[in-house]
Amino acid sequence: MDNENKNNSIFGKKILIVEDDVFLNTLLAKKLLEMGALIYSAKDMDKMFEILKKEKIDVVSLDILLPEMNGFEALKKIKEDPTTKDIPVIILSNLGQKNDVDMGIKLGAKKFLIKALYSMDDLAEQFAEILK
Amino acid sequence: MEDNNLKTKVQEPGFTKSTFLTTVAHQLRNLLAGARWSIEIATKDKDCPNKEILTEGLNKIVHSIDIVGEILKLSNNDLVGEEIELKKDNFILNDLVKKIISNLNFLIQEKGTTITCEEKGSFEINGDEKMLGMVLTNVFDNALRYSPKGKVFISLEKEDSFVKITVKDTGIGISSSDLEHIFQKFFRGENAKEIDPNETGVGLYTTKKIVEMFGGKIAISSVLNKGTTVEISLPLLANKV
Repeated sequence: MDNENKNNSIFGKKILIVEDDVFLNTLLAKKLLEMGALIYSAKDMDKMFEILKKEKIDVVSLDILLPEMNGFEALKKIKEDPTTKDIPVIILSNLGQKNDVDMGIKLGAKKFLIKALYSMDDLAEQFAEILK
Repeated sequence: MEDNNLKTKVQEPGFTKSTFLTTVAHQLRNLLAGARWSIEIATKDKDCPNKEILTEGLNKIVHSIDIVGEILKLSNNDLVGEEIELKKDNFILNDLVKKIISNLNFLIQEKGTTITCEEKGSFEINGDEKMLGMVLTNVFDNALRYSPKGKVFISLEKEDSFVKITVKDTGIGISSSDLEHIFQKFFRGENAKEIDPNETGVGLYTTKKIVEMFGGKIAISSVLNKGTTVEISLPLLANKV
C-alpha cells in the first residue's frame, strides 16, 4: 500500500458492500482495499444487519436488484432502525429510471450511482467524498 | 443463466417493451461494468502486458455503455442517469477534437484511413463537454468507418457567432433517397449496412438532438461513392465572438 493512500478519506474506513454479483463485488472490494478500506460483504438482509450491528460500518454500498432481497426494502429498514439510521448508504445499481432514483433518494440514500457509468477511480472518489 | 431469467420475465403478464428494455439494459450494464472495471484494474499495473490493446478494448466497452444509455434515452424510458444531466462548462473545442482523434487511433489504423485536422483559430464554447464528445466521436467514427483506405478532413472555423466543424470524407457516400431519412431513429443506409452490419443507427438521431441542445445546427450533404460532408455549427462563447 502506498503511503499517499493514508491521506485519502477511505483509508481505515469500514465499507459494507451489499452485492450479489461476485465478480463486481471482487473488483470493487479490490479497489477499495488497495485504498486502505476494510471491506465487509453481504448478499442478504440477515447477513447485512448482522454486520451492521456488529461492526461500526462507515458507509454501505447497496445494490437494488438482489435475488434474496429488495434493496429499497433494505434501505428502508436501515433508515428505520435507530442504531443504523445514521450510516450513509450509497446505492450502486445498474437501474437508473427516474422512479428508481427518486425512490432511493426519498428513502434516504446519499447517492444513487449507476455502476457502468463510473470508472473504478471515479467510483472510489464518490466513496471518498461521502467519507470526508 | 441471465438469458433464462430474461426469458421468464418476457413471459410474465404485463411485460412491456419498456420493461424489456430496462431489463436488457440492466443486464448489459452489469456485464459491461465487470468488463470495464476488470480492464481498468489490470491496466493500472505498470507491468501489464498488451496495455495498448486492452486500453482500446476499454474504449470499446465505454462506447458500448454509452450506446446502452442512448437506446434507453431514445426509448423515452425516462432515464435520469447522471449521463443526461447536462453540464454547462466552458471548454476549448480544439482540445476535445484532438482528444477524440487520438482515441480513434485504433479505427484509423484498422481502416487504413488518413485523417487531417485544420484549426483556423482556437474556439471556446459552453455546454456539456462529455455529450459533445459523444457527438463528435460518432461523426468522426462514421467518417472513418465508411471511408476505408480513404481520407477524412476535419476543419474548425469561425462563422459569424458560431464555430463551424466540417467533417469531409472520401467514403461510400449516401444515396439521395437515404439522405432524406438520415436523422431518423434506427435508420441505416443500405450501403452502410453492407460495410458494417452491427451498428445501431441511433447515432445521427442522437447527434442532431444534442447539437440542438447546444443551440447549434447540423447539415449533411453527400454524393454516392464520392463521400459525405457533415457540418456542425455551435455557438461561440458570447465574449469570444
